[in-house]
Amino acid sequence: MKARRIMLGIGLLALAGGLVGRKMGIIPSIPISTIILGGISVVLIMDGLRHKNFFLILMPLAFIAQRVYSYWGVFSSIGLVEALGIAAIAAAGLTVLFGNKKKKIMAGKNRGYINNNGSWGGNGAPGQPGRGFGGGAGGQGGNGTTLDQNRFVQQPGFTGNGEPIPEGYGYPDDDGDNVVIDNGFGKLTRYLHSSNLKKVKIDNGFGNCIVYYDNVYVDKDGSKLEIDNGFGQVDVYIPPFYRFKMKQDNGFGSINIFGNCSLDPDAPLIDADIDNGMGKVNIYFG
Amino acid sequence: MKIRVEIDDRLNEDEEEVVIRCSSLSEEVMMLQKQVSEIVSSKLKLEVFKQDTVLYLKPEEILFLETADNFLAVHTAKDIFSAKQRLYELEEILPSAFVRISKSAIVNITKIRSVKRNITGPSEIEFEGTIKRAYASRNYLKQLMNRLEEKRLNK
Repeated sequence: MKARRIMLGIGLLALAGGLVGRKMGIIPSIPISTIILGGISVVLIMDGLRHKNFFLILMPLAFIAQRVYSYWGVFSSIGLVEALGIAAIAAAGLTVLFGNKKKKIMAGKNRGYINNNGSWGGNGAPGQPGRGFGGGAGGQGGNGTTLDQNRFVQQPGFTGNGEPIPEGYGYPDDDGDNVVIDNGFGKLTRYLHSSNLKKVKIDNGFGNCIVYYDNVYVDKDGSKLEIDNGFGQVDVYIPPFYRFKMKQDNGFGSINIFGNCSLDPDAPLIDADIDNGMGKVNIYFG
Repeated sequence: MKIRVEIDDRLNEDEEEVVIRCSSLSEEVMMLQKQVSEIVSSKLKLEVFKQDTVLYLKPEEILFLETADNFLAVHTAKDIFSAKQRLYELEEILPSAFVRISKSAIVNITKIRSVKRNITGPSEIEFEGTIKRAYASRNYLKQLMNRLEEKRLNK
């Protein structure tokens, strides 16, 4: 998990900074144990921000505030247990007001697909609409395109007659059945080419990750799409002739869908599981 | 400035040439050169590939070109093709409506609908009639905005 590694890295940097500060006499009165726990607290706060967990944000924050600042007389009147208690109550209040439950869209018994307007198009009762869902611009409809017309029939790198495509034509290699895309910082663009795609896993930390389902034929049993986004932006372009269902866990960021997926029940299904922290995930059908 | 046209029916179309003879490279001459280049490049058709199919795209059909995964992706409103040239080679032959927006991308400014500026990161470019987006890096944004302004004033 790239985002978790980044958070761990930031926590370790905070810990190193604290130890250097102590050694240099900037924060001489703070014990090493408090500095170590402070570093762990930073990691917990970052994780809390990603998953919009107010307990994970406020409890470590209260610990840092009480333990660190009490040495400078700011919170001297509030003990550690009291500070943690206050933080727990405040976190409970914030969770009641703003907390979000893990949202499942078109999953479980209520399998189906997204309608053009972003509403439920499957059998059974509709799932909870997710935040930002169906709020996109019109885009191109996928109804005029059938899967057969776009099916990836020949082996990549070879023509339909089995002859190799001449060198220099820039034809990309097949990515295989399972694709893992890992981006920390910066911009990463990937064009997927697969004759039997089963799973795509995108792990993005702070950067901008753009993925195109370019020459892709999804496995007949469907394909999984897992997105774990921390603080960056992930854009995924999916051809409109696939069905799509999504389960989302969104923290403080946003998950948006643009365009329309297929309504054909025989079309292969892309089953997405999106875990977004404070960033932005955009799914484009077109 | 005199204008002379010589017709030689022995020449093939690819042997035709325009020569501007001048005493110095004045602004007028440069404008003339630019106009001629525009006419020549507007006739260009780019050879692109989709699997084993070769297609010939007019520049006005292209939204943007981008290098990724060791190949050059040519984006139209509805499709993605690959081209065998390098990005800098195409930058030289494509009409002036194509502007570089990052180290790895060139955009057709005639297709741009909006540019969403972002102070901290790349700015998002939206196009007419498609949901596709491209991103202009901060280093190239000023150049892009200048070209868009030029285009607006020319119209």
